[in-house]
Amino acid sequence: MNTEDLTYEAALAQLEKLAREMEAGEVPIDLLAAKLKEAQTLLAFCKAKLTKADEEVKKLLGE
Amino acid sequence: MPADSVTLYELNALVRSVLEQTMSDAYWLEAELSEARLASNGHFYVEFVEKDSSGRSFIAKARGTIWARTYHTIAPLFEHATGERLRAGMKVRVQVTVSFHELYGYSLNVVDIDPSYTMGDMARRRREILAQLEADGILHDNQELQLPVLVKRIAVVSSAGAAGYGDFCKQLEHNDYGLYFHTQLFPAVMQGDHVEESVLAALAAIADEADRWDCVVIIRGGGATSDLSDFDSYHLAAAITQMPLPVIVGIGHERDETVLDFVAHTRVKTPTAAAAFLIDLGAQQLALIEELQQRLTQAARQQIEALHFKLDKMVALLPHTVAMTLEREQHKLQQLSQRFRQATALQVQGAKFKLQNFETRLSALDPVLQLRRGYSLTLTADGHLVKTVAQVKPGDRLLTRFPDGIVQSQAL
Repeated sequence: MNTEDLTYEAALAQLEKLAREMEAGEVPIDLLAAKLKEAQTLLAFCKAKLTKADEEVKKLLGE
Repeated sequence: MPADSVTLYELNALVRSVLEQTMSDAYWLEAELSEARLASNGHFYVEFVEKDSSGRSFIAKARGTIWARTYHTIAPLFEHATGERLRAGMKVRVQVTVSFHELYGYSLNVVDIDPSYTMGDMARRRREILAQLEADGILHDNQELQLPVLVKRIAVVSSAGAAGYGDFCKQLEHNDYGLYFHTQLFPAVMQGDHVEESVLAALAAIADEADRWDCVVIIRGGGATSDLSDFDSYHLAAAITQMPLPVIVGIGHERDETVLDFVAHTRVKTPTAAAAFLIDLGAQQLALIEELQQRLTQAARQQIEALHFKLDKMVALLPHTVAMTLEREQHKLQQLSQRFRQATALQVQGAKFKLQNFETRLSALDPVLQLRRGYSLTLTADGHLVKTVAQVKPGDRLLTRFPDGIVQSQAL
């Protein structure tokens, strides 16, 4: 999954949607693993956004 | 020296004695301080002024002194009540005695001060500023901005050396959640005459690159006296309302507030509280992510469990299902074989009936039966059946068959 242009807010919205779909049992069992993996990527992305410096910030700090 | 002349000293002494005799009372005076300074000898020197109704030109002026002993008594009380040091620009209500010194001239000795007057004046000024902002329709502009969901790039307006700024940075850096914050200081003078212009410049610099920041934090550590009225500025308040980013104000005062508190997106008491506010925002997001993670894993687990349950149920039901199927098939077979037997029996019976019928019809044709009825058969000697008279010539021998035997005869 490509998270390059993703914003924190958009990732959060996607996670919420995924959670709803899965809670409603709308995810076919064959796709479950793939969806979970996608969710994990998004969760990691969000956590990193909160706990790590962004590339842009790193650049600024490097200036 | 002619008799009708007096020396300057004598004149001044005369003025002094007249003043002392006629104005010996203490007066409560309302005036503005145009100068205020603590001298090294411990005495506090001021200049009182009064302006005309336009506020532009002075109509009265007088020097004043708070002697060191008085100053040590009233200054702490005043500072405690107002949160301000006595300073130029302030409106005060003081109890004074009038004095005149031959060398130093006219002067007012301050014997007491009424802090509530100054507080009232400061409050009035704040009210006026807020009313003006309201009238301009901008009072709540900054409060209507939304903090982004992710707040991590923070533009700080403070003075580099201030303890408050250091506390703020330290607390952000060592937060309990491992949250990362990027801060940059936009230095400003946070106390004294240059507060307004200096903070305005810092805000302008931030506004110029607003897309690089999530919010603005204006902080200053609180001291014994905070001189908060430096921040009671219309221009400063207006600038905050017009900032393109949410502004968090924490200018360190426990008791009092400034107009900035009313226009800022978020007001906190101290720089430490400002840091705590930002950390809390991040912690809320972390909690949200944690919750999402739990919901997702829970949902996936439940779905898999449900599937297992369904499979288990199917496996458990399998022997029964098989038995049922077998039974059903056996029954079907039984039914079939019964139908088959019945069909066969019917067919056999039909054949029998047909045979009987045939027999009956056949028996009707039996010649013996005809003979018994009285008919007889006539045969030629060589055994041919005689069916017409033409077959018989006179003298021929004939055989006549009866049911009980044969009679020979001869045609005539």
